[in-house]
Amino acid sequence: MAVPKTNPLADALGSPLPPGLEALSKPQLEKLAAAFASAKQQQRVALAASTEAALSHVPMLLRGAVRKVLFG
Amino acid sequence: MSALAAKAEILKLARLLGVAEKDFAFLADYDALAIRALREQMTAQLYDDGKALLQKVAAATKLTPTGISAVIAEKALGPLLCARVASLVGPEKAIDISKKLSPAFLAETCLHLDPRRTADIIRGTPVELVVAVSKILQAKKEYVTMARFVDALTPEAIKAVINATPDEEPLLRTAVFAENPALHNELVSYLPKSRHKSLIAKAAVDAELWSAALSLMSHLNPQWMGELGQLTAELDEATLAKIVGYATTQKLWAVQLPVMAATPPESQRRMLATAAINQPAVLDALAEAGKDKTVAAVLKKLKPQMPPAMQARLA
Repeated sequence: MAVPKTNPLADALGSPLPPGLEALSKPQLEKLAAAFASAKQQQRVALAASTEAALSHVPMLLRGAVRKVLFG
Repeated sequence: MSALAAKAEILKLARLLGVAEKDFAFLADYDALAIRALREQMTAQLYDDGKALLQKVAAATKLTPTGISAVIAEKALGPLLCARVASLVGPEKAIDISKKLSPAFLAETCLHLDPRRTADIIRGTPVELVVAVSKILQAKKEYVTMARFVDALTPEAIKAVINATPDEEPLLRTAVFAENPALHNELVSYLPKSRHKSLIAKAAVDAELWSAALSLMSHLNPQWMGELGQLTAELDEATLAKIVGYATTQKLWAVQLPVMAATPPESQRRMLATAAINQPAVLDALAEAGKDKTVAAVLKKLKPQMPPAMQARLA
């Protein structure tokens, strides 16, 4: 199968795909790209939520300093 | 063999992206190295994404006492983010924190950890903690995850895990997924001789396990390949018949024959004389495999030990 002119996975990665994956169909590339984008998004959401939650476990005495490091 | 390697890479990619393995089943026909390269490209991007905030979390971790950091790790960050932050905290602090985490949480974190970015932490983790985590991973059948750590663990830690694992099956299933096959010789050398015999006996009862054993043996040096091949030749006739069946139905002759050829002539004669290997369908499979030049060369080497009818069929 020819390499699609627009490659959704390469677009999602912002770089060309490694050699050996040229035969992936457009739906397959889209599936991989969507999974990658979703993982990235989930990681962002988890990171934002957990940094705020983390503060509640920091002793009051240190909380100000830690908040400053985390949120400026 | 390549199918097995591709399966392992699909599982690792699916794990990285948090999807089911079956979602990427369409990658099964692709080269394992190409899938691995894609995974590494994605891993690098996921590690870089949000790096500024992750670095802040790491900096805040350095401010807080180790015990508090461990509580935050388990109760607020969770395994995925701990895996991302670990390499940014610094090995000493990360090791101190890990000692205060539960093995169950560490095992979950291992699923998301990139061992190449955290090698210092892994090497510095107390051996007893490595063993405790390996037991949890084994119970969950997380062999692919365990294999990712083989490269990063110290020989002492690997030996301790082997000694704490009485069953050969998890060892075999882990070894076959090790990303650096050059380590296979070392892994086999860490097993006492008595366990080599039980490794072969265990593998011979199941086609998938035998395929894993052959994959392991195919990366061994001639000495180790010969020793394990010899133990194979010593199996009873019924078990040898099973192995012949696996090699035929799973098209494993290209890997099975070099192992056979690495054994002494009398062992070769024993294996080549079994009724199972001289069945017409098996001889056809051998002839088919022999169309490959490398396999043909191995068959030529084995020819003096073949029964006359087999020699004639494969001529």
